[in-house]
Amino acid sequence: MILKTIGFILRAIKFRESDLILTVLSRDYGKISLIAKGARRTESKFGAALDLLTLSELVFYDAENLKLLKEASIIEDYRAIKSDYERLTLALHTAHLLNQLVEEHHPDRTIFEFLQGFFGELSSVKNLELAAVAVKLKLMRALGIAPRLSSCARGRHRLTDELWFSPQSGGLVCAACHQAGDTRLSPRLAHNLKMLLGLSWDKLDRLTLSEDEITLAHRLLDEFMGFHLKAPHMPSK
Amino acid sequence: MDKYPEPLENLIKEFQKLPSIGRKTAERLAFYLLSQPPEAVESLSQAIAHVKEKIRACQECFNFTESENELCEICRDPQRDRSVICVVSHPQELLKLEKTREYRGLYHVLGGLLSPVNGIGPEQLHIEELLVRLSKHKIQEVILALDPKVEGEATAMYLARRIKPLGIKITQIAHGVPVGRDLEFADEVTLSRALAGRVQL
Ligand SMILES: [Zn+2]
Ligand SMILES: [Zn+2]
Repeated sequence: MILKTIGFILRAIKFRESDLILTVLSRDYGKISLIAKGARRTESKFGAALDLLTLSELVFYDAENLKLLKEASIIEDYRAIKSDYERLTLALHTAHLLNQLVEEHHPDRTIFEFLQGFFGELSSVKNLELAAVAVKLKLMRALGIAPRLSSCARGRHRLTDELWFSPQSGGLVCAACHQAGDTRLSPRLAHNLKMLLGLSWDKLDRLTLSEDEITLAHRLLDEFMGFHLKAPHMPSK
Repeated sequence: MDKYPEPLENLIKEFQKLPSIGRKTAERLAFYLLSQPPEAVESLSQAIAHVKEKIRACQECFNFTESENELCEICRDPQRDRSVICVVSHPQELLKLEKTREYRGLYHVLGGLLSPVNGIGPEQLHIEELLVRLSKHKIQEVILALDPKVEGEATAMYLARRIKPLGIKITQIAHGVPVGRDLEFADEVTLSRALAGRVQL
């Protein structure tokens, strides 16, 4: 069967003499692996369409345990991201994180749209440190596991200014519910995390987080992801 | 019998560890060796044993060199232009460039490309060693010959940022349409690079 979709190239592994095994986040079939024959040769017909992070139209032959790429053409190359070292690094980390968190063959438009939305805005985002935190929050929301930040995750209580973060419980917990091992955090950081989750990419720059707050936010979110998805840690820089 | 005798199984298992060799190919290789005269097998096993012990990285540029020499053939060659360094990711690319006979300068082999996703940061590559070379010797130009894909570009951007403050000219090989091909079949990204890298006639 011949199928057609559009998708982001998340990963490309060398295979055989000149082939690539691609991991693609496709719009219609979720995360899939494709074999691209001869893709590493300079004269390959796939050209630049298989470069990492590129959004391409992909036509592939779908057999039971093999998906063979037949045609690929570029839809969006995200040149503005790829020509900026910091933006490129963040985009690569995002693709990597997403690759780790998403399972194959679970079509999910929300996750595809998350990535498309982020790559579309990334070239104009000013504060990349904030964006790196927002990536984790928004990706988790797209996966349906955003941390609970509006009420106590353990007992559904209203939150006061005394706050803890508990990866196991799924978010912020109140003074009555917190347990040993939970991390204390300031109401300001809790509020900012909520804002980062809610604000669109172009409005992130309204917020400011100190370096310590960003480090703490990454640690808590990594613990949260690790607990809920058994995902390896994503470097914060 | 559900398995071959142990020595044969061992050989098959060893072949299977090699890149892109599956069980079937491994068996074929093992049977082939078994059918060969002892001298042929001996010379293969000698070659394998010697490659690790006799080949090492050049102290200066990280190209391959035979272990009795600190420096590789190129770094030892007094005829080479010592004011230019061409940066590549692996010795294989260095050899390709040498085959062009267009380049008479020195090289620097990074040992890979930056790939934050695979945990390859600047520390995993021979980047500091390159910067040391640039500060020690009178280098006028650094040519980057890296893969024209995301990891290559990330590496080029990183190197440019580190090298520019030293006031050394930094260039990159042209990216564009492969020679001998029709323009019609080039994709727009490749063509736009080719256009950006156009030269005056
Ligand atoms: Zn509570
Ligand atoms: Zn050398």
